[in-house]
Amino acid sequence: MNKFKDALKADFGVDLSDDFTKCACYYSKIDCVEFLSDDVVVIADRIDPFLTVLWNEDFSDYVGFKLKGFRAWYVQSNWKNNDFNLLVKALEDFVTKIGDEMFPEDEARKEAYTNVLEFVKRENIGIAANDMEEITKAA
Amino acid sequence: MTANNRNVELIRAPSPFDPKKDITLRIDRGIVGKLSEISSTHKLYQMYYNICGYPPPVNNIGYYERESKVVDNSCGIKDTHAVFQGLKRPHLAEDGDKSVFIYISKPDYIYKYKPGMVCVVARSRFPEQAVFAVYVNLDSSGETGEIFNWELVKSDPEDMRLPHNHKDRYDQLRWKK
Repeated sequence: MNKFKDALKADFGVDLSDDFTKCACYYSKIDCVEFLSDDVVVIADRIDPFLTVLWNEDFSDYVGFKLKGFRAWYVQSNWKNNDFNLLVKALEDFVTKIGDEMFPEDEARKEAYTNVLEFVKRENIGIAANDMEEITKAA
Repeated sequence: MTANNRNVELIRAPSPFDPKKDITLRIDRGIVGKLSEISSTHKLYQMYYNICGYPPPVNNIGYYERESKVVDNSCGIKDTHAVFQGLKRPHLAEDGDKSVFIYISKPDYIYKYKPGMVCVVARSRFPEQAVFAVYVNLDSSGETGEIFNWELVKSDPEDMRLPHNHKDRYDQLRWKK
């Protein structure tokens, strides 16, 4: 992996970590929170404007998700940065309140949200502290 | 241009307005930094191979393909066959996603981790049910721009060379080959 590390340093001035870190990261330019459970090839499957689920290559296993426009939603919601787990709060909001209005007859969509919510709770996924600061700053 | 003759700063790509004209793109260092921080190596391999057109710069790259008779003509983002404009999704900035261009390609190959003593990365067929999407913001000149994300996206069953539900997810198709 040394040559790859050296290449990334030379080409982009960045340091490649030795091991994959499983965490929900916030990407500000995309305004998106993304969680990946493993460093594998993933295929994005768009559920709706807010949720995308990430599958492994043969669609047999669910390996992550993306919550798009996360800060945009945060700013206009009543989510608080001291909510125990902002991801759970956001997803619960969609499944319960907004969910019923947004897709009353779309069971597949509702099921996708429910599955991601269960996944977040089961894996105890939270957003990294630095990224939380970025999401909640001056909101 | 680095010492290895990789040019990842000036990536040639077709213009979103005219596929016969080329523009020059760069990759956002912020996303490369974040992917490196969490060691999301597969996405970094995609950046080198499926965007820049170079096999990932890994020790002994090509080892597993040394017997292959396949001529790999991959040119990364230059192999784009369709460009859409505008993402239909929430964004903090008003109309922030309206100006995004989405470059779609269907590469033959992708590089994946393969445990081994000599080399840890091998070329593999690109998933049949996916296309490769690269997200670009153009500078005001329209001649240059920045790549700020990329991913494999599920294919549309009606046209496997385009993303699933492309009519619902993007504002408009700029061109298609």
